[in-house]
Amino acid sequence: VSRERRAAPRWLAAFDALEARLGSWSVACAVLLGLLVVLGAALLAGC
Amino acid sequence: LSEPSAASPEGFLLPLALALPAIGVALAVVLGGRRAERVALAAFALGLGVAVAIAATVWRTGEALVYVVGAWAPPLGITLRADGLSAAMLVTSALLIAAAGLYGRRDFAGPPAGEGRAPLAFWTLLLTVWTGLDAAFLGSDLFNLFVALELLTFGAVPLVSLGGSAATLRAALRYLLFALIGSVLFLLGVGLLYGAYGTLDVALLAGRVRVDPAARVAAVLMTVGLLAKAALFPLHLWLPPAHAGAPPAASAVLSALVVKAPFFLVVRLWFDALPGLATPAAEQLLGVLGASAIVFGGVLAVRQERLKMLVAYSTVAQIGYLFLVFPLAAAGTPALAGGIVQAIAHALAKTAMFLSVGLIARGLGHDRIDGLAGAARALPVSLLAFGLGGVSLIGLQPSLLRRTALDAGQWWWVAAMLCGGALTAAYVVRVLARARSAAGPPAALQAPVERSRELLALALALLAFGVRMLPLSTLLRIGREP
Repeated sequence: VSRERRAAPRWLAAFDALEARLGSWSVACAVLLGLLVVLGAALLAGC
Repeated sequence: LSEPSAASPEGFLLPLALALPAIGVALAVVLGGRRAERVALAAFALGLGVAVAIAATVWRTGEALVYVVGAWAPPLGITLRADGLSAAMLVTSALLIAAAGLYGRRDFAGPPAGEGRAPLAFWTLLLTVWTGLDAAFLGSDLFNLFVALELLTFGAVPLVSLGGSAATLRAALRYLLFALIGSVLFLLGVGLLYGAYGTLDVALLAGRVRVDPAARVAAVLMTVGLLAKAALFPLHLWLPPAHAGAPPAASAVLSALVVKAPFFLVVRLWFDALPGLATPAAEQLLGVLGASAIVFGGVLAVRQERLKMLVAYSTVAQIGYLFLVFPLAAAGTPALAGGIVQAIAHALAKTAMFLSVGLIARGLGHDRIDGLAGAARALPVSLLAFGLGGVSLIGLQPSLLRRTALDAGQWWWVAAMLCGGALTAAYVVRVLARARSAAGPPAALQAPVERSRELLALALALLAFGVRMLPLSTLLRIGREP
């Protein structure tokens, strides 16, 4: 399935750039680890 | 939650709901050919009847249904349990799986004799996914819930790649990897809880769990694992290519139901298995991720040039609404019921939209939005179903979630929901305006589109529009109050 996008102003194209960045495996793994740390900090803060 | 060993007289309905699709899988594999389709259709009819009977019994008795497997009480044995939430999700699953099956009959008609691989795969995988969904909604043991998630993954991933193209295989592989990472994290959390408390039964665990690091680390691992499976932003990358690349009937099931099961399990984990463990910071974090999904998914849906990708990104956005439940439910509000109503309305609307998009793509020979000029005249019923499904997603109807957020004074979630509604309106109106436009060469039908399938999509869209008016919150509270 094509991932064609419409031409858009720069601020809107930033969403495309973020999407493309999140698509790489290294960034996806970093995001996953980041979520574990942040949610862990948020939950463990009450211990 | 009620005592796990207190079995209900009508509890036998619960294993029946699980066994029907599982037996259907076995029969379909053994019989093969066109008989696989007949087996699946019979299972859909019977399963829908059982799901409705479970919901009716829960409604009538005002109590959760419980079945103790083999009469062995937990922690040694396991129980199946259907409260109001489970009953509502069971009926929704049975209805939408049956609708996807009816729609898929034309696309996956098997050969009169012998084995057709794609039809046999479609019917058996659809039944497998249904078994996994029912197990997730009825399970009350964390390891059983892990098994349900695995069953769901191994049914859903091949559904994505049924088309067999390189792109769909890539999408399916990415989905599989994300799902497996989620499974590993979930299983690690399950192991930690078992080591710390010696039981995985949800009701027993709720009574034993303490606010200690072991329980909190387990909650973090399991929650992040489930977020990866639910495709909550920013872990959504696998969803758009997977859902847009699958055949329409499969896309509908994946988008409407499969991503709801991990959300349902996060609800079970936070509210039922580990109550009192969540901190306001963690609840707000889930809400922020949900609001980000609403905005991010909505903007990217507006930016798509293909209808199927638009609908897939719309799912990314709609998943965000569900996670607003967590900061709102903390205030002791009916937000949980609001979240489940939202999940059901989205499931109905998304099935209607994917099915109608499948018909539009079949009729016109493509799903390019720019090539839709005049499609409203060529395929009026399909466009109407798409539009009605979209309008129900905009959220013009009264919303329990929105009202709860206002009552709790958390206006920022209302702002996120209104922003999501505006983005949804933008992408739905864009498609409808293009379809009604007279500019450019008018769309012509390349292939006939069955009126019965158009009417099926339209009926689901109408149901999606009206479901918020039903007194669902009464049913959803059953089995959850002391």
